[in-house]
Amino acid sequence: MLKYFDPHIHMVSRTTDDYQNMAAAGITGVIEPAFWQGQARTSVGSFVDYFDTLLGWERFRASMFGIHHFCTIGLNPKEANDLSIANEVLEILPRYLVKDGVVAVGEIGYDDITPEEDRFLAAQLELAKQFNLPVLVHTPHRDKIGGTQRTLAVIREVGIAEHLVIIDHLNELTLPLVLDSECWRGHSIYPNTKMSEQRMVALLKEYGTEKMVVNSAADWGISDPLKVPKTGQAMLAAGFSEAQVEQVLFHNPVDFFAQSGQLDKALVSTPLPIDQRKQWQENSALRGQDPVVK
Amino acid sequence: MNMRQDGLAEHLQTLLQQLNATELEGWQQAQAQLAQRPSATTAALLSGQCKRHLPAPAVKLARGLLLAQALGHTEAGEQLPLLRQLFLWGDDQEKIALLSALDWLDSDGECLELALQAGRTSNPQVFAALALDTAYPSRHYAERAFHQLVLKALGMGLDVGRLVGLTQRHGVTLNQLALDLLDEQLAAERTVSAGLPKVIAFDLLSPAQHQRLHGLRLPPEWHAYLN
Repeated sequence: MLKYFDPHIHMVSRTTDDYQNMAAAGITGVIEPAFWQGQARTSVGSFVDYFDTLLGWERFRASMFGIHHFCTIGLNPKEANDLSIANEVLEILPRYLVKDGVVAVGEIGYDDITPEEDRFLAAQLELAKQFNLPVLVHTPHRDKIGGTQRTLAVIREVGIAEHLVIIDHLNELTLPLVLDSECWRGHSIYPNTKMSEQRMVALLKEYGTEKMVVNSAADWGISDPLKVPKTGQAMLAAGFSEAQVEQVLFHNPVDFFAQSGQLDKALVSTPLPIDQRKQWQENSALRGQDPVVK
Repeated sequence: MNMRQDGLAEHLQTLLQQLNATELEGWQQAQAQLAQRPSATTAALLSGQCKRHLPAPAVKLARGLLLAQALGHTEAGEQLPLLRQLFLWGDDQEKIALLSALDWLDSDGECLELALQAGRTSNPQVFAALALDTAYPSRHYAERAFHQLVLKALGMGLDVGRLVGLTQRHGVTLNQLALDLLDEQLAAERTVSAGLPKVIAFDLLSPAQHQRLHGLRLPPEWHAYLN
């Protein structure tokens, strides 16, 4: 079976069925970027608990199904606009960026493209430089071209090495802007609002596979955690080789985030051994089922 | 905070006309309670109870008027924190009531930051209360923020024809943003936002932009604008 890695998926919003289906489809590992929660948080404590969940319970839950779980930590652009909280979040970020399994700063970037978002994007790029971590940058839904151009400008102003940056949610109009840089190129295969498998295949045909990364960005919206393997199927159907499929859908994302020193390629090349007898803070994802051990 | 007094009186009349004798008595008791103990807590409790004591069509307006009364009982320097607190405490229906009333509660735009924060919602109904049928954004938003409002309204499938002051904000920058969105939707083979032509100032398009639009296969409603 081909092996896959989904480098952008919000598993706290997904079910155990999703983990089982992802593992069955060949996904050996995931990266869960910190992002917003569908509604604004009202205190820094909510961020603390969320970051702790990404590092703790969610990683444990993934392990119950044989999936390696990593995360990125950052202040998302939407909530960067609430200065009453954003400054406090910025203060707690360093202590999370040094935790095991934190493979990047992210997802950061632009939403409304405001001066506040400028400030927190630059500050978090500086943090990435300070901690020698890669960066996952979200590009906005509105004025996507302007937002992508400004993202590239800020990356250059801060002076972070471009090979340590992945610019995500690209499409036909914004990918060419990023191709002029050394940044990696992220694409989200997400129903209706982002890319489809077929459009992704067309981009790969036109621009090749170098530094091209694909994710599902699945979250609490109507989304699909199997979009990475489904893109693999679409690539095969379009004539790409199995090696090319694994290059884009496994090696590229793993190579990018392995720059953190927190992700071992050999380790994520096979699923985690499953031992559902284990518990996390005396809790388990099982509800009376016989624990699987394999 | 300067409220539009003429608007307030008019809204109060509209509300009173919708209430029967029992409901009117309940409304007067609520007003008396707020006058006696004016605080965010009292206002929040009374706002929550509106739904139980008043007819459904009157609830939103009643909540807006309770906010006005609460502000009226509050020192000038405490009014904005009060409104911000009630916004945070409010459920989506209460947020809708506040945002719908914002233009007559705050004639000077002191709540601009609160409005911008509110605009980050993913709930189209809450966003519509901020964006549609109210002059608040057109009166107080800077150009960039107004453009974002327009794009988000399009993205949510809202009727941008109800965006007060849109035509006064037409310009070459908004044109470019609209054309970028059009390109993105066409590249993705998605339905072109129905309201997109209303966002574009066709007389300000460059000859190249005109030519490009003519070369596209656009929905029929565009033809009237392009000819």
